[in-house]
Amino acid sequence: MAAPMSDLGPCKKKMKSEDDSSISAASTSSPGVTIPHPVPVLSQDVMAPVPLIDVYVAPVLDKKQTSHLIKEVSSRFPLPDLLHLKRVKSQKSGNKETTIQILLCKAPSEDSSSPDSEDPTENGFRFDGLGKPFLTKVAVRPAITRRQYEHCAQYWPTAFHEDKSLERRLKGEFFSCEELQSIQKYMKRALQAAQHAKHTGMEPVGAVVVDPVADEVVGVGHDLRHAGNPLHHAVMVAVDTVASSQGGGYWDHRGPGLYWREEQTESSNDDSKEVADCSSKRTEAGTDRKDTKLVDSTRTCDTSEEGQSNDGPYLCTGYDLYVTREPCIMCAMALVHSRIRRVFYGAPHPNGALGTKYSLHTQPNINHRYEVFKHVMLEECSSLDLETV
Amino acid sequence: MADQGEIEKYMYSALDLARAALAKGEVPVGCVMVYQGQIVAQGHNRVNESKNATVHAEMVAVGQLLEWCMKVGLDKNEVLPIVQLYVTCEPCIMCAGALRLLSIPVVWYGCPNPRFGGCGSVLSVHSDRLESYGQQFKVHPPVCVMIRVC
Repeated sequence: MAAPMSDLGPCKKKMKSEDDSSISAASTSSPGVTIPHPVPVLSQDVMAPVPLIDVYVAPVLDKKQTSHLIKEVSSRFPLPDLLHLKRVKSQKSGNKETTIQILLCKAPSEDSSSPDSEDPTENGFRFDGLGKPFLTKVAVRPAITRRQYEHCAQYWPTAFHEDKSLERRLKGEFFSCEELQSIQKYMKRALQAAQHAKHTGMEPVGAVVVDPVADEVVGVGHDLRHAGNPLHHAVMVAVDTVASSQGGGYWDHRGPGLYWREEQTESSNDDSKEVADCSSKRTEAGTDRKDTKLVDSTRTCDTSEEGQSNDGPYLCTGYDLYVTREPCIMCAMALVHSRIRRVFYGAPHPNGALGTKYSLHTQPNINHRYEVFKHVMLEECSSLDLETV
Repeated sequence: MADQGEIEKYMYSALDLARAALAKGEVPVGCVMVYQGQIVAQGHNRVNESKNATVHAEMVAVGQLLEWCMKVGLDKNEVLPIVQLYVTCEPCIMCAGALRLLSIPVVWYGCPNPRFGGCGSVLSVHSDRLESYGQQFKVHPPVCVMIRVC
């Protein structure tokens, strides 16, 4: 079922160009099974090289004076924004001669004048024991990843505190083999839902909300945008089925493949039961909703006769979402509002708001964040848009 | 285009809905949708009642507008592009995306939403260049008289 990474087609090139090539090569193997590792979708701060700025440095003429000069220069040029940088750089030149340079200050930039920038070659700069200052480039902020660190260190020595969990994600070693199988299992459920959508004239997108602790499906949705409300994307539908599982729910979603609290049956082909469960509840809900009038309409949310308790966490707290296509900005924000824990998606989409545009889950000012992984069953998810019904 | 008196009239209707939401223990946001000088749909936040965090005032009103179109036999694709939305609080990022997808052209709002406003406060979903993602829409700056009330 899982495609080897070499078969991923055009998306592989894209992945390579935007991410670390070490990620795309990553996969986890176990005897007989090769499941490509989901690719973490991280912010540009993590993925892109740390930007560089110009600084003035000067060679230390007498190495024995180095520690004295560090004190002098540090007190003359405090650099509160550049504390990640070491003050000196020692470099071996051709014939074992070690040269030492000392960091002075930021170079004045043309567009903005920083308070701690100046040109030490002007105003009669002079420090005994230092040679003529010159410009060089350094990292403007601390490195977050080892790869960034190695890039920064080529320019100037810098401190680095490795985030081990992040490094494992970057190397594609984050998930155990069992977790990879579980991820694949749930994406298959989302693919099934997407097929339901496709066969009923909807966009071929499916979404599944999973309680990872109980290891069970909490809600399944698929696209319904051509069934009346253009906003009923798969994620929006899935979120509402979760609400239904908690004794709430707002929309009158009906159709095979839409339900909550998956029956714990072994066979995934047992759709007849799902349909029966779904329609009995939804018919009732539909009757409730028929006479709705403007804002005075209220929908009873009592599902107690069906044995559904009103338990469950607040919204989707702690839950994971599996969706065949990268969510759009509306759906991505719906998942923020719903407090989802992690999002796994299959195929990128031009209007996607996680890996393609916006990178919503890494926006600094938003009150909830979730982790995102892409390219889960990429080939199967991508081909949903291609196959004819 | 609506004159100041009309804008205030519709915004007061939205405010009444926001108060109704508050009385029911919901986040106090209300909105109305105006088509040819008539309020044809309205809504307030219903997140707690529905246990669905996406049931914002705009989403409720959109549902009503679509039902209204069906009831009166109008094509939603002809109605949506000339609807005006009046909402007490700047649409969030999700709702801004939704309003784009529906091609709603004009939004008047009462106060900005610095936490997750999608019409300029956190993101500018209403005006960003997003190919094949509905229509950009026009947002009118907060209605001054309303800021005190919202």
